[in-house]
Amino acid sequence: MPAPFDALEDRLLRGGIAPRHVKRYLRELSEHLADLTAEQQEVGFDTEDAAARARAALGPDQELADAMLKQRDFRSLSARFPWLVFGVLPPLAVVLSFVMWVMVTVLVGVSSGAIIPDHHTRLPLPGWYDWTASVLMVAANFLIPCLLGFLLAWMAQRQRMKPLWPLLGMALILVLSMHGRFHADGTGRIFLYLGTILPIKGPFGPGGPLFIHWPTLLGQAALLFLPLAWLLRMRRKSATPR
Amino acid sequence: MDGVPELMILRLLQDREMYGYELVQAIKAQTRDVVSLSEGVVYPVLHGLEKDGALKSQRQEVGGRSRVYYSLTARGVRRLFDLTDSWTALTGAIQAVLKGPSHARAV
Repeated sequence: MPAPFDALEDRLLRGGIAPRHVKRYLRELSEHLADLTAEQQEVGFDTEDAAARARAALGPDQELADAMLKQRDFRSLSARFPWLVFGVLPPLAVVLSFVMWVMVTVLVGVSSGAIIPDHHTRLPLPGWYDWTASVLMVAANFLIPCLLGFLLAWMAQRQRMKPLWPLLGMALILVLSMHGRFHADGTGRIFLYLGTILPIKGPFGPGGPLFIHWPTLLGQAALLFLPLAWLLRMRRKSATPR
Repeated sequence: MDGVPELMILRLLQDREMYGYELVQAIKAQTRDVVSLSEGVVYPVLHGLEKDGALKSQRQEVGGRSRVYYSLTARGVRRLFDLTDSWTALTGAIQAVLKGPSHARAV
């Protein structure tokens, strides 16, 4: 059985009201409804009649929704600027998270003494660090796009946005497709290859264009678009009558 | 009727803090049910006034139930005075029209 404000919640979210404002509004409406129901019961109506009369006194969904939708300040950022949230921020987030991940990997090495930040001192890397750095890099390659993909899908679902918006964000992340590979040789030299499918020449890698590791890319694409399937499934579920 | 719920809410909260249900009952009682609005629409007005800094809210436990109490801020008092002035001018003008042109000529 649907809760008393399910339809209203859906209407407000589709109208672009930020979820926190919707939540607060519905909570206060529920409290008000409880007071109204108690008032009707005191007058002598049975539970069912009291609940129906209380709900009618509170107002029809259309009126309750219109009153909130009129308050333009309560619209969410993604409703006001979807191109920013789903178009600009995701690629930026990929680059930033990837850079941070690389920095963490290096910091772990320096702080543990595995890496000596001195070009003249070359010592073979400890086995544990070689392993840790490689694992961290693989995790970054697959976790970052996966988490960002889920974040976009979750935001779109939470705010009842069209799946086209998260799809745009995911496509842009894929166009960037940042991925990296860590490699250390026996003399302590570290190679950090960064890849992207964008045709950029960079200072990384063995002196040439950024490398592209196609299996990683395909894995990223699969993980990136997986949340979209979840989103579409949720949409189909909510479209079926309860 | 735009601005009427806002004016009534600010005026009622000038006397004491109230929660939504209490406010609606007070509006109904003081206007003898002449102003009847869907009770739930009071919340977007309250939230809007709070966002503008005219009200502040605080959740309190009273009699085992949790309620959001709203009270007026200094900015809310100023807004109340402004709205009262506008409303007084408007109702005066409407009264003048209702009295008719003959009354205006006699004056």
